[in-house]
Amino acid sequence: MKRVIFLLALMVITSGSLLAQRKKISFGEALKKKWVSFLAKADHRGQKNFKLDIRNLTRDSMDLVFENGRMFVPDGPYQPFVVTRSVVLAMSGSENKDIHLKGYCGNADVGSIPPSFVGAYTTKMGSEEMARTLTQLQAMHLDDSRQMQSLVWAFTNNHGLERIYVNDERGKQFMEVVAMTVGKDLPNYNIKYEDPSELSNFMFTGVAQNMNARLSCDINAVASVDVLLLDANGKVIKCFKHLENLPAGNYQFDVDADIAGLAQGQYHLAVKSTDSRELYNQVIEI
Amino acid sequence: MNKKSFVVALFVVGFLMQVNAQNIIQTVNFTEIAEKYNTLSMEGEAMKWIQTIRVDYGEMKQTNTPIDVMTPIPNQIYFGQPKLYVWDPMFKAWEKVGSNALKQEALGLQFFYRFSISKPGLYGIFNALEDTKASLIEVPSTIQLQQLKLVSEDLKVALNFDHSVKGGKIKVPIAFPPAAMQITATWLDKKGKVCQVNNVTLAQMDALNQSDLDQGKWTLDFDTKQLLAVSQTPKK
Repeated sequence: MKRVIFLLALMVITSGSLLAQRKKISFGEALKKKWVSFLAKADHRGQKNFKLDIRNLTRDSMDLVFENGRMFVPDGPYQPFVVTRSVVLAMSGSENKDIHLKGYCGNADVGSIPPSFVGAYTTKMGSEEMARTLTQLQAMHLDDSRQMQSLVWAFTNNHGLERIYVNDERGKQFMEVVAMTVGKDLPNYNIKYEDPSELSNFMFTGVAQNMNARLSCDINAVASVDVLLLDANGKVIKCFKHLENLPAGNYQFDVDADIAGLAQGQYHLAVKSTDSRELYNQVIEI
Repeated sequence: MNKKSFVVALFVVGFLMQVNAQNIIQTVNFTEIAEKYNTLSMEGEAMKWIQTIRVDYGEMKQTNTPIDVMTPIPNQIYFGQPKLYVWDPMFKAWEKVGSNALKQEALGLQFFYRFSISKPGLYGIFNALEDTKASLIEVPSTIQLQQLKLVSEDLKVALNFDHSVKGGKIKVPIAFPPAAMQITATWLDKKGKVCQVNNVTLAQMDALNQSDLDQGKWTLDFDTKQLLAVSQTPKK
């Protein structure tokens, strides 16, 4: 009998401790189950933090996981906010808590929220590919890279990966992780766009400023070559490099150039010999 | 010329013009430098020519985009530190570009000079002359030397003296000019008659004498008018 009482007591204690364990639940799931509600504060232009007022509608404690790629969409033609760093918020039963989420503008084509904005926010998950990429970057501590904003637009606005400007080793590492996660080849060129002015409501200017490129080219016989940027009609716009009497071989040319003043559109990266032989031609988008 | 060959000729000319128009950077050989320019720095120092290129932007929108240029280092050993210069058409001399504008780099088995160009113009790579001695050309007071040019294909030196000299001295930073050095000079004789010699080599000058040269003396006899040069160590 003593043994039975002991076992019963053990079961009660064990089940009690199990019941006492916090529930870990994603923010989306908690909303769906109506376990939480939220109130978002209007974000102003360029802000990378987003304030949420969260209310736990249950009496239970929970660990609320804010997912990477979650979007908060304002009512009206304004920039949504995309969460780029997943965080866990511990909440007690019926508790109200503020949280600042880290993220970026989720639509390059619309302006920021005016200070007078009083509308509500809805929330939804962005593409699965974006969520996966952001999670991978966070796991590798690369989610604070300068390329984050451009990366978000690659998913929300279908910008090509070449619009993510890279000019250092950390940037290259960032791009390698992105390309591997989305299963695409690394672009051999990338464009830096001008930052928006203080007065602009738009985060993406579309005004090209710099270009980085790496192109590989076979030269079959001794030649003097130019590495050029041509317009859509083949007219030379810029000369980046000139190499005199280059012996035959395979060469890799790195370009890091100011391209300010060029309109958006199609151009050609080309290598031409000075006797007008075209040794390389690649269409690029600026 | 019949119609067909005229059309072919037009086509060839058009093609050549197009090819030429597309060349943003062209090499300029020493002959052209000697003929139209010189190898003197803005400070008046004579330099040894190594390479020159002409950069023409044409209709390119090249603003703020420098051109990275690589030219092969010739298969010769150059002492000293070659430097990059740009031609100043106003002063008719070469102005140094920065203090460290010229780099040397290997690409495969070939060594290259590497430098950056940010505006069109004529750019040259020059070295200091190895000669530590100089000569003085004495211009007799009976004549007025108006122009003197000394060109040595062997030394890769082209020296221009444009100023008028009467009864003065001209310093030539070469102690023993090679016999093949070419001389072009214009002077007025005592009657005011213009006299000229064009691309005459030292060897062709009557008074060139090996023993004089060995003693550091050389004499130029321009059609009975004499210019006397005496070799000496230059004053720093």
